[in-house]
Amino acid sequence: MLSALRTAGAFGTRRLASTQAIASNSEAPKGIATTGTPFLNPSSKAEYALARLDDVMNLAQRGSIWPLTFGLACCAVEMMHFAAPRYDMDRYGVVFRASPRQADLIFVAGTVTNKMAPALRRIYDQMPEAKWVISMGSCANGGGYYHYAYSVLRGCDRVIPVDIYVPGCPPTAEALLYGVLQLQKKIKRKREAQLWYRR
Amino acid sequence: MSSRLLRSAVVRATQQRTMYENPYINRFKARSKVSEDFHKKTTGITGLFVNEHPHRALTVVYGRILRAIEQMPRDSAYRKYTEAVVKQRLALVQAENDIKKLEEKIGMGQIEEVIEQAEYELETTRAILDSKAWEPLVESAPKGQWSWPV
Amino acid sequence: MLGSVIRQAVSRQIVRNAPISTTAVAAQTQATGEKKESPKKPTIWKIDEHKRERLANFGKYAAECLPKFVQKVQFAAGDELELLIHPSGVVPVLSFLKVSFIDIILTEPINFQGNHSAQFTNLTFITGMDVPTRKNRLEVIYALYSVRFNARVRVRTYTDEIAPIDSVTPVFKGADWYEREVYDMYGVWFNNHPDLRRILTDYGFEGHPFRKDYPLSGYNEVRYDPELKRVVYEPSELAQEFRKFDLNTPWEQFPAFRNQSITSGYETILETAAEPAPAAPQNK
Repeated sequence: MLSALRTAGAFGTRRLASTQAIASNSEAPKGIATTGTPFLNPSSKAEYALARLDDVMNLAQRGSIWPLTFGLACCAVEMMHFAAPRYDMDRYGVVFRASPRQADLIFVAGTVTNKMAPALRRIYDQMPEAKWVISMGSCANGGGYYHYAYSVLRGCDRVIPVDIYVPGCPPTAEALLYGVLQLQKKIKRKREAQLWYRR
Repeated sequence: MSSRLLRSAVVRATQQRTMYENPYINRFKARSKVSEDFHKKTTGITGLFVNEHPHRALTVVYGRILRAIEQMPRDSAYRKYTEAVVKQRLALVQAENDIKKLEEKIGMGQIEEVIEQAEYELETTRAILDSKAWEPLVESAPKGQWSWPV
Repeated sequence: MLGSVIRQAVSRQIVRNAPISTTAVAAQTQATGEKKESPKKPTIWKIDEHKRERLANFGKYAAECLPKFVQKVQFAAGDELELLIHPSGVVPVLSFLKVSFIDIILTEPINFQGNHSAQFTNLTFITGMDVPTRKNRLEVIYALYSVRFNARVRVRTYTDEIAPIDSVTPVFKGADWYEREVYDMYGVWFNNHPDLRRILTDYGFEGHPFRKDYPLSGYNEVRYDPELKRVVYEPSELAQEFRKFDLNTPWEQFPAFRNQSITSGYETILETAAEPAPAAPQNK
């Protein structure tokens, strides 16, 4: 990918056409170049360069998502399965951290009660920026079974912004894995540098 | 002056209270070490310490139970049964000097457990004495209180 | 009964070649019918008759020793012993059960071994129950377990919203949090409790949610307020109310057989009633 960057960076408008040509290549998924970048239509040289910067940054970020364990109920067990050798989240560079200061991601695994809500928000606030949230299971998604209960938060998105909702009660470890892959996809399209330039 | 205060504060803060020093539970207080020639080093039960002189302890506790139970009326069932068993136990304790044989005769596990049980019994006796539990029923349950389904 | 069976067998031996007459068969079935007094049928659950008898004896014994408090002794679900007591006697009854030199097998003292006490030393749980139609609507239930004899007993007592119950923390240290839980959920006040406050519900929570008159969805909900930058409490607003389907209960498919199984209902062993003219006022 870096070599692609180098060759791409040297030439301006001529390469623009060629990236589009690459995009129409049948091997790559729709909207993704064979180089792996989703940014196909830069409008200027600067934007092109920043897109490559974004590519590198996103590559690094999605390759090492460190989640914070936030197991609250039975979903936590599935979360543990995801960590265990069969599903082995480590192969995606996903490694549990026990401190919010070292985490990029938080799995909200389980029922969030009203009593837990301030704690969840505080934990979320303690995570350094560029952070994501995966809400795992029906209880965290929208209250689920306890939607009408007096003590349960009706979805953790009332307290923190959620990126990926994994449905299920509890979701299997595979579902959670798929959620993480979706999150990686989402991170891939993050255009932080380009947005900074536009602003 | 201030340094002394500080030191005392530090000492107080760093003094860790272990389970065995819990002031709540008297029998958890650490006992002296078991002597070399005693037949066991530990009871194997958490918080239950080896008692090298069970006869003395049992005689004392049983004596207390009997004295407490004297204050109950003679016809109370609790007094009758407890007195019988305690007296029998006391006779066993006085007759048998060997600890292991005594344990076998009583048949309630290790002698330390028997002592513990006797201590609880003393508490129970006092609770019953305080509440005068031998009297007739204080009050019947209101009608329908125990009926289910309502 | 055993005698009649033997007699029959003997008579059959005497009339050696005689076919078994219908009357004899009828007598036999009658004998077995006598043996099984209870019309209830066993289900998958096997009831250990010997243990049940021991427990029944123990229940009678406890009632005999504590006549002031025990109102009723009964079996629930076939073989679960329950002592129903007056609320003033919680501490003596529980300390009595914790350790007392009772013969749990009163009927057969086997050379005085292993039968000295109930030793219900483990307080399994304390819980409550709310039946609003009763005069004393709240019930407090203590479950005890004897590690030595593998036996269980439940102690039940009653109270209303105001009348306190004595805490059993002097007897069982483990009762501390259970009582806090019962206080939290049902609002039963325990006297002499070292630290009686809420344990499960939210800080600043109001009400006792396990009471029947507490609404399922409660009163408040929380959300994060981005302006105040903290989690705020608001009166709850449900987009859709909780839908209660007024169908027949899904749990009872065969109500006609509700009382058929051996584990259904209660079986009274002993019931005591207060005397009409009690001697208690003299003491007070």
